[in-house]
Amino acid sequence: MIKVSNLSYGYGRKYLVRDLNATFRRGEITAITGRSGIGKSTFLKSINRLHEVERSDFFREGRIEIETSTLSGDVSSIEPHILRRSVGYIFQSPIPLPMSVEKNVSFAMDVAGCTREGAVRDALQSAHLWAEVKDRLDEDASRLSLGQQQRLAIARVLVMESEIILFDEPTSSLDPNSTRMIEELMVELSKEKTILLVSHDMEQIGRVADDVIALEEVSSNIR
Amino acid sequence: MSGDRLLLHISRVVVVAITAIYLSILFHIIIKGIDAIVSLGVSDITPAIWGSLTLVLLSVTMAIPLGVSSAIYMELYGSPKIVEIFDISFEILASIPSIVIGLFGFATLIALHRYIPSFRASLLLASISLCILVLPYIVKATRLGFSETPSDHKAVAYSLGATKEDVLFRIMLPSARGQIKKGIFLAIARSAEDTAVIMLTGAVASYGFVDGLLSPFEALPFYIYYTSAVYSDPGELLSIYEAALILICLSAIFIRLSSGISRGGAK
Amino acid sequence: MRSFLTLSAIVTASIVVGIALFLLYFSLPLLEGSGLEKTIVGGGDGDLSYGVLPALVGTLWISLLSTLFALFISLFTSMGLESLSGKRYTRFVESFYEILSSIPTVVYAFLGIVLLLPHMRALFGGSGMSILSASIVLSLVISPTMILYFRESFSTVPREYRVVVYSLGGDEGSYIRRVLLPFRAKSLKVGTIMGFARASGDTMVSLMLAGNSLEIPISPLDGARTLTTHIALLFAEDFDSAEFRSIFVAGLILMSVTISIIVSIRKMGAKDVG
Repeated sequence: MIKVSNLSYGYGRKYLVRDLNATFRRGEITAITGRSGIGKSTFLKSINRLHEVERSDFFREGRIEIETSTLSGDVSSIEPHILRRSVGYIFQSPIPLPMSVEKNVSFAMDVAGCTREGAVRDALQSAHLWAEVKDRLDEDASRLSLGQQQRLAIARVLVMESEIILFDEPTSSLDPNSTRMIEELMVELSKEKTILLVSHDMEQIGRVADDVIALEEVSSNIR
Repeated sequence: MSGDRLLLHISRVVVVAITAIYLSILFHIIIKGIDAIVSLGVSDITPAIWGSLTLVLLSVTMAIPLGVSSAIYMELYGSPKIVEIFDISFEILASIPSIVIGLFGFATLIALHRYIPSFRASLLLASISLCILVLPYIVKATRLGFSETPSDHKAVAYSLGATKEDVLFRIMLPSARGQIKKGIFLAIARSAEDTAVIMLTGAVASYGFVDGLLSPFEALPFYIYYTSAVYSDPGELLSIYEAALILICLSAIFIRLSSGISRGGAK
Repeated sequence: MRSFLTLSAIVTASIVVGIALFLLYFSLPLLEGSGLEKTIVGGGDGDLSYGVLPALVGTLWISLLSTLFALFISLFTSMGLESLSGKRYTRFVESFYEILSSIPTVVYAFLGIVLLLPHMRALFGGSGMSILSASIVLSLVISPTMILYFRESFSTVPREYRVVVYSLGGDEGSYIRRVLLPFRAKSLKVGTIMGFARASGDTMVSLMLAGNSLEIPISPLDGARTLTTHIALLFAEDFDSAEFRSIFVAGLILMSVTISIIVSIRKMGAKDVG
């Protein structure tokens, strides 16, 4: 579960969003919409603190609290790399790491130092990718098709058994078939997890989302 | 004939002339060098060859960890101001005339000799000084390699729970490996050919084979310098060509291997 | 791990500072004892052996002359290559210059001794060693790098400009003279400064070909020493002598010039030039 209270954030001296309140629960897919540039991705990245890796002039006010079976508290009070094991992130364009398919999936485990037997296979199966890659585990991941790469990205996250997954426009660079596969995956995963989905595609939102939050223009946005 | 055409013709003449001059220089040395190797054998310069190899090995081996660590520090832990200071320092270090670096090594010798009498102008001192000479190449190459690492890969790694150190070892260093190798090759070429530094820190005209870190040594570039001033018979003159040819081949190979870095960034 | 890295970084960064400090420390007795003026000009009673002024003048002579020659050579060669570009052999020629740029300076100097000096002796008498001899060879040393640098910068000029020049009735010469060179004036400047920096920092060519005379040189046919050869020649002197100390003064001058060039290049905004 994620609980957002009085959240305001932006870059430099400009607010992007003010006083956002929302709760995201397990078992639900909540879509985040808003016009381009309003900060939807930024919102996601402030939950797993990925913005810290990118720009140094980001600021945030208010609270973002998460609660999982292993963590609880405001995200700023948790070590970033530990936080990110529980909060997975799927990027807009699939970004395979320059390694084999297998190493891509096991990456999060390798980094955390806790490899489990068969975890790679389980994750790939849950991502509906196992059948297509089981003979290609040692191949470079960039040789997969875009749709496969995106499912690989999902498998990468699943291997950590994160209870929260953030999807940042996951299907915008995919063909309709792959899009459908990803959407099915999201719905399936949402049964046990908390899913947030940033999307421009209203029809997609209509198909998968249980709830929608629309980010609005800030009226006075200078700090 | 218009000025434009004149310019064109002059340039074409110059290209041909200059290339011809360089070509004949190169041929001269290759032919004489081969002649020397065939007729003299390499026994005269073998100690110098060994000396040079040992020198290069020691200095580059020291420079790699030092240079790569500094680049890592600058990339991951340094504040912008510190990085700027380091950048300027390495830039200066890279541009200082090599004789000044030799002078520094020599001065260190003077300073330390008082406290550690056994510390002499030696292989050790020369290696350390050469290490200082080539350090900037390694640092620059590593930094370049890091800057070429796709930021996407880093973002993904972080999002999967990697710490700074994880990203460094699993993403950045593997990605920078090619550039780092090129920097190392450049460092090898540079340390093999330098004369000024070793002249002040332990190279001698004849000593025989390297027999310890704290003893003087022979080296190819110094052999060339020294012998060309004092040669007394055609045989000795010929032996210089040998040394020169070997040195050219060494340098050319490693510079060739390292090229490709400086391809961008002109303007 | 982090502390190891920090330590490494501090060690390497402080080397530059260390060098400057050492040079200052060792020069000080001379600067204090004889004063700044004498240090530059030489001891009283006509003893010129430790003054760095002759060396300074020699450095200026050789650096400027060789850079001048090199600029001519590199510029015209680059322009010539440009006018021939597109032909198959230009790539071969550029690899050739890459090899040339990797030849050690001591080898060039040696070749100068066996190939150039005899002619200089025949033409001008004496030992043949002079500022001119050193400058000719030094210009050959630094030209390949300058040529490669200029070629690199020429290669990034949009092809369209050439076509436009042709369509307006010009030829390759017009393109080079009226479009290419002005457009790339900045890298021409930077390349020349780079060449000058290399020339002023060279030791071996000057050591082996310039004659190492003690007096202030007045013509290109005179022998001379440079700040760099001054150091190479006197480092074996008596530790307490003024001659010995003066090598640190020479080092100090060289270092200061280097630092000024770097700082001004950075201000000019030219990116790292490899």
